Amino acid sequence: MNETSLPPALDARLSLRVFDGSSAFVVEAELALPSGVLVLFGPSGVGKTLTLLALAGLLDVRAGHIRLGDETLFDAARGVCVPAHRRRVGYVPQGQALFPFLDVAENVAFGLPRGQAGVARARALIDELEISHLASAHPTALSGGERQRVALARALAVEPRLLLLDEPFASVDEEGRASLRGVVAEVVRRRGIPAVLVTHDASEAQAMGDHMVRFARGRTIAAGAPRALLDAR
Amino acid sequence: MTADDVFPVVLSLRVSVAALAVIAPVGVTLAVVQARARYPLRRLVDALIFLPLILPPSVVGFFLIVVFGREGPIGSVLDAFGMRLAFTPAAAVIASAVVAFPILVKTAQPAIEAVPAELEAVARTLGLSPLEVLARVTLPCAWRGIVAALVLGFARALGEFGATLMFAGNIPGRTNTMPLEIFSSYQTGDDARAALYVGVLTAVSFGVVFAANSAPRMLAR
Amino acid sequence: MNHGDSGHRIAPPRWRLALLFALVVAFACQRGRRELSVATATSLRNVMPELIAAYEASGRAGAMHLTATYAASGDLKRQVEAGAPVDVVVFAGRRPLDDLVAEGRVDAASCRSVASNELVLVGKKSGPAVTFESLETLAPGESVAMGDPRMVPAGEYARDYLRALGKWDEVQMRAVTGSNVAAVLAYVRRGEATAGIVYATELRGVTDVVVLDVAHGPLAPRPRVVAGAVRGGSKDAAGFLEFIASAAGQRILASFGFGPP
Repeated sequence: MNETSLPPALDARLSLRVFDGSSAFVVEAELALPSGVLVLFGPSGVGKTLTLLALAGLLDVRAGHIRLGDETLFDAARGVCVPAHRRRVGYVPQGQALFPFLDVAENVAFGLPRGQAGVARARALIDELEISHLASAHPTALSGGERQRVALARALAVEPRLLLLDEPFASVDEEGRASLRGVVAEVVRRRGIPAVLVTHDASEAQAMGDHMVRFARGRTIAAGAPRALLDAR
Repeated sequence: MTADDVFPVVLSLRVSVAALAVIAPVGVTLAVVQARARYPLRRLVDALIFLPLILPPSVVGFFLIVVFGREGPIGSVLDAFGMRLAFTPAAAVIASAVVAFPILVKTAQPAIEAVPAELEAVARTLGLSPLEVLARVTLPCAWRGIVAALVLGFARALGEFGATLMFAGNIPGRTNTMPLEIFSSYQTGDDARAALYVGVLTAVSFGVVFAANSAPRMLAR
Repeated sequence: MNHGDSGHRIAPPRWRLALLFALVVAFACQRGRRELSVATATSLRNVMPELIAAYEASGRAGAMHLTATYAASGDLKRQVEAGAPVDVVVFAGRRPLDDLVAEGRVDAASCRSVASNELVLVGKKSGPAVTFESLETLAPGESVAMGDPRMVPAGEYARDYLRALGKWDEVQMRAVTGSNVAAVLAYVRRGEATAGIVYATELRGVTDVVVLDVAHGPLAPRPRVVAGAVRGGSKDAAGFLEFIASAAGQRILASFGFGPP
């Protein structure tokens, strides 16, 4: 009863179109997340990454709405559209996109105001994600798992209200994956923020997701608990 | 070496630096716009930017004098305010700026396009406005290409002849830049004087290119 | 290679191309006895076609065809020095011709004065009425056009005259130099220069520009049109030179405003 009186952490309906050369790719997605981690599941090329970009405000959405808790980030019908740099949505892309001209500490502190407060905060995050020994390292010298942690620290530094992760474990080796999964789950839980995670790996979906949405050819075709969706083939 | 001999050297350098000062901010901005923005007339603007590069310099010179000459549409307006452009050092600056502009834009543009869009996307989610993204991500990534664009633009401005000859004239002591002076000296049979400026121009060009190649290494963290 | 029946059916393409190339080059290089090239000062660009037409019509040219090129006398001198294929030179000043004679490029015996001219100050009808002496009174932004003294005889005459008048320094500050007299006149007609120093003959048929002052007095220059035959050029050069100096040629020159030699 109490749950239904709280607005869902994330409630979105999106209709968008991207042009790839001469052809258009249409994505129609419907997402509902009461709380916790939402997994976007499906093979590659079905529109999962595009959905993430739309949630972050980095793609033009033609119709629909995006509501984060009780705040509306986007509503086509009412003409509301909060620009990307004001949405406070953390984004960790598939390639991590670390700034090659900055070291790890500078990367993490990128979105923070200059000065002591920013430096202290970056340091705290670097410690939390157990990469303190890499603070002055260069992004190109890091392994896949280390880069993921830096990207994650950078996204969390600006205190986002929603975290978006695109195939976060893809570039990590088997060993690192387990510990990274634990780290991600922990940081999200500690902050109490919702997260949307894209993966094509069934075991990952099962391990990380509280809720799941299945994609096929640009549309969300099923939603529910990961276990149930994965079993029903 | 008399003051007369030194004058074309100083004039050429001043004209080229002034031309670069004008086209650098405009050109880099336009390169960013053309690289990132998508707007209806984009292709047309692209072609217009490219135009002075493929037009023969004498055609450029002709257009400049027709438009900015005393009886031209813009020149007559300036004349009313007592501003004369043709046959002044300012005209040499304009001629150099016009012909160097396309090279600057066309060299800077690919460097900006090469900046991964993902980096700019992440920067936006971290709270940076589009202008901040430009200053803190795009330009730091593309700076090598931009430096190359400035160097090439400067070199083209320094070597400009045809349009300058028509618009600024070849007036000794006023608008005789080194390329023009080389021509005049050769014409009047003073090969030694021509060779002097050929030497200076070659040395300056080498120096500029060498500096541009070494700068990235010296300035890199 | 296919030898086929005749054995020469398909010639290797290489030597045919070489032959064709050689023919083209030979054709291009050939000036032939049929053409006479006259390097003419820009101030004679209107009268020279008439002289040439009259010469060819008179029958004295024979089967020959004359062509003229126009530039400042100094530029033409440079071209001859660099080996341009020129048979006759017609200059607007003595010095370039004397230089070529001294260099052995022009036959001294063929040289003669063929006409004279006057140095004038011109300007637009609506412009200020200045004279050579009062040029310094022009506002600092106003320009005076003249030929580049290094290459254009008219410019050299202008500079020497103004120096003699003691006005050179003042005028030089306002000077805009053109590469030949036609360019100087164009500057004045286009309004880029308020006044210009050209030959009197330049104003023939020109209505928007008028004579403001004529160089006169003992200090005034006496521009001469001089001509000569280039050594190693066509043997028919002498014939054309004689025609220019003849009564017929002189009549044509006079009709274009030139004075006697």
